[in-house]
Amino acid sequence: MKVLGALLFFVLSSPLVFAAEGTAILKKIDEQVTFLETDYSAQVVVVQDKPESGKTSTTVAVFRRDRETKYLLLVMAPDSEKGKGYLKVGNNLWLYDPSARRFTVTSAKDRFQNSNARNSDFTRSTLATDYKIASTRTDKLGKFQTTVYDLEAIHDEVAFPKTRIWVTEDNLVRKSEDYSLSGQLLRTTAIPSYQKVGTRYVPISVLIVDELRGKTVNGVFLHEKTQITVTKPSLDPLPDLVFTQAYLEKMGR
Amino acid sequence: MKYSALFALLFCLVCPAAVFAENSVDELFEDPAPDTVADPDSKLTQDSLTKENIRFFESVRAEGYFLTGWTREHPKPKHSPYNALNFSFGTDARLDKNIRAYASFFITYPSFRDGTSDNITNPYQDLLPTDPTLSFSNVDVKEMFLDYTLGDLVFIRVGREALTWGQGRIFNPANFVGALAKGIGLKATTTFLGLDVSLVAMKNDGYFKLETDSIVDKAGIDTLGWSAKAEGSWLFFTGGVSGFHHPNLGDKGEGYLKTSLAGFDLFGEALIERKLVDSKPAGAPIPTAVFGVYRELGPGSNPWLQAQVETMVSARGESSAARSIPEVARGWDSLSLGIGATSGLLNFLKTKPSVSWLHSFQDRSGQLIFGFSNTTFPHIDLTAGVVWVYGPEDGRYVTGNPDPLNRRLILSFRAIFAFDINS
Repeated sequence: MKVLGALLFFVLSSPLVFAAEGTAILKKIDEQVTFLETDYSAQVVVVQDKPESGKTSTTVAVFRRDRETKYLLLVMAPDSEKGKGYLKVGNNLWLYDPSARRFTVTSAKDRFQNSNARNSDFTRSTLATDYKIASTRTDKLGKFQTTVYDLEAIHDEVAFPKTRIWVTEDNLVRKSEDYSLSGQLLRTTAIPSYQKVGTRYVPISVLIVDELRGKTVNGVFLHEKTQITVTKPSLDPLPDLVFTQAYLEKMGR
Repeated sequence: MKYSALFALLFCLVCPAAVFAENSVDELFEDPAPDTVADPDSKLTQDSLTKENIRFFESVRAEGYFLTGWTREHPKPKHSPYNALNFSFGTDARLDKNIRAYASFFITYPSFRDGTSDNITNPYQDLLPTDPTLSFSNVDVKEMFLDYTLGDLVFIRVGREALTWGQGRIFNPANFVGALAKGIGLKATTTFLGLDVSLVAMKNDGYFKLETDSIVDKAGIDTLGWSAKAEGSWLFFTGGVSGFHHPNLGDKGEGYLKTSLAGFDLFGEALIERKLVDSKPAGAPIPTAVFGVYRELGPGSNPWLQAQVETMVSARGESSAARSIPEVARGWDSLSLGIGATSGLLNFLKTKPSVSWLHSFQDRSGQLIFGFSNTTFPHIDLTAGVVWVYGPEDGRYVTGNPDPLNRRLILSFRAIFAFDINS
């Protein structure tokens, strides 16, 4: 009877155990690129490559206070976009248009500056709170030995309902594929190299390939791509004023 | 066999991305750069962001446009060619992270245009002069202000700036600080209990004089207009309150709540105002409410549709568009609807179609506009629009028709040549 009870307990509790283990794995992955003890700032260059219209470059200053779920993105170049800003506090995103000197609040502007990147690509990783692990396998990714996790969203507030990540032994995501609910591949992201800042990591560069958008040239389909390069990372404390509307007004052109 | 070939051909035609995709990202992992340690001496600092040598900028814009259209009275169309020039220039200096000076000026032809408006949703409304004077303006100040940041706690701006409050993209009765664009003021912004808080004191004799003949302009503190705003975010909501006070104009108070649901941005805003004369109530409280929805449709970087719908209900009656506060509340008999939409479907042709419809249920007047904007050629923006102004002669959108010839059906063509220089 005891054996039967133990077996029943094992059968019933194993999904919960697996889910708890999965959450713990994703938490470790999140922790590697999350700065809960300090503020974080960096300069990021976003180069958008559209086959039909060429390359455009945007330089942006990124400020994060992960422990308060706040971030601020400030466009520094080109001149025509300089001073535009995104301030996210909790679940709400403020946009600042310096030409009208006006703030608007919206959820619809989650794409960053008309690129394939999303604002969430610049902010803290929240895999553990957004996804659960559906399956696991190992895979060789170039010179990296990786574990591949198929993730499914556990709520509908995420940008992609399904995603697949390639994770190296140091719990760093090297590659990800984002899928629609029907399983169509929407975009692929590659992070070949990281730079260590304090005890955490920041990508050196990120390549995002839009799997749906592009143009066929000479019989070859050229995808829209976004290259993100991160420089000048810092963990120095930031003034509280940085995460306010006032700061965007101050920095606006 | 022949069906296999047909299917293969069909597959190639409908799935070019799958068949002819370029090299995969996996090649990046064959020989990646090694992980490194970030250089601690290379940091993004506040000083590096804010300290900037003095910057000069200028912008030149030349417009030519042609209107033709029909009035109610004349069967033959009337044609009108116009042109306009705008030259803007200015300077921006950030001495350190605490202080900044900014000024921008403009000269326009004709003299009455401010040269700043460029409404893609409504290519017609911003085009037409209401005064036939053909002369250049004097050099005018668009913005001129000094910024000071007090101990990383309070941001202070003194001077003239274009500033917009309120939530409506189409109807925006809560823009209490619009007067600042033509006057000067002092604005202090900080955070308090997690809220973004702003306080604005405005000095604008010209703007306030327009409101009523009873205002006596004096160099006293009672000529100042005061505005304050506090905004914050909680869970999935963003909300705020704001207010305005001027001893001879009146008091205004506003509150709004905004959220998103299934991809729709939703907001509701309520406004109440009361006329004052010599700081004493001179009329009944006048309520106004605005509700709006904004939605983008389509994945990727170019949504195929950006649409907004707003409705405004007000007890202001016929004076709902005026800045002055009426003394009598007319009840909720003034209902207006505004719809605006822009499509990205023709982006590959560098063409952006748009539609705008404003309608007053009160007097059954309105304005319907279809427009196209094309930017195929560098520095040139070509716009074509069809405008229909309808309703009774005393209808809001008929009396507000900016066409001096009062044409009801108008074809509008415009070309803008523009470039910016920064140094």
